[in-house]
Amino acid sequence: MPAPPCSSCHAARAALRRPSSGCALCGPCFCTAFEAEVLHTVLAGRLLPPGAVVAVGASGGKDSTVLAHVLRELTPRLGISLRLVAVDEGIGGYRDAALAAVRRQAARWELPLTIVAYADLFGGWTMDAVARSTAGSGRSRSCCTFCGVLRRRALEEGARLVGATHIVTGHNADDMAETVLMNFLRGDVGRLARGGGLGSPGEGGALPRCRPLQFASQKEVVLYAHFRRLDYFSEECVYAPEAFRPNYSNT
Amino acid sequence: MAAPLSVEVEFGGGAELLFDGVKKHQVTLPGQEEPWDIRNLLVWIKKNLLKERPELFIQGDSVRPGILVLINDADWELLGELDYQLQDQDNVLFISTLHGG
Repeated sequence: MPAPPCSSCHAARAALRRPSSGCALCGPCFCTAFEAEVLHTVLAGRLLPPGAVVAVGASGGKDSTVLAHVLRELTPRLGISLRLVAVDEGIGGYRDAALAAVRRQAARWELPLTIVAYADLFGGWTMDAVARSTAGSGRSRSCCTFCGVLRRRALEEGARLVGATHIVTGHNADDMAETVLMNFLRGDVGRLARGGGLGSPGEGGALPRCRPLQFASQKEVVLYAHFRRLDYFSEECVYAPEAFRPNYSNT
Repeated sequence: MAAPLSVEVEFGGGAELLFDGVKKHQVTLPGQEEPWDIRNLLVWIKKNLLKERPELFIQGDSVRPGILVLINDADWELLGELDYQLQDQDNVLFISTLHGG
């Protein structure tokens, strides 16, 4: 059974059927459509005004890699400028390799990169030190809970350091669904009520944050990275098996 | 009787970690009675290539949810999934979507 022809260009064979529309598209037509949808998300939600200096939270993983690449493609249309901000959590053997991927991306895309380290921001505390101190205390499962809070703060500090007016993160539609499910099962009414929008407008003096990929499925993010031949880091954090979130990923 | 096939099997997105970190494998599938399809390719991979934690790659007779399968750069959903009959020189790529962000 051969693949059907691309329903956009009618020239090439389709490479995937989009779950959202049922359209079968070839790789290049899919990538063009994907970029147009991210542009629409940003414009329709007025997320990044012209002139914005945008800090991209860059982890070297697939989502932030795709986000940075797509925004770079859209820079002329949006009239924004980009800065990559990476956070070094101080996780031996994991973060070093991921940061190497971010450095390669910054060099290839000619984007300025700033790395902020937990150890510098938080009085010498690395994530490895946090993990040692919580181990055996009955709180060891919450390693990722600490890291989530610290990373949010670190990204804010890094963005301010580079003079950013806005922060973007690579959360995709699957991440959003996981978060809803997780908050529901924990009965976290406050987070459920706050989580519905396109980001936060910047309350309490914080920089405005948004998630331009939040309507893109994980599968399409990965396929976009594949068809655009993007180089990203795909190992799991050494502490991830302890986390609460993966329980909801495949439900 | 199906003749032996030479195919390229590739792993990415972190799936390669279950295969000694090797991404590209040039393999020869021996001749057998029935034609080679993805269903029996998975059995062959499990027996011959998979190095650790098979449950992270195989679930039942298919791949674990969250692993994308591309045959000659097209999503296997367009090609019959497990029933796709392999041709000589095909490329089959397995990409994990589950790791990191």
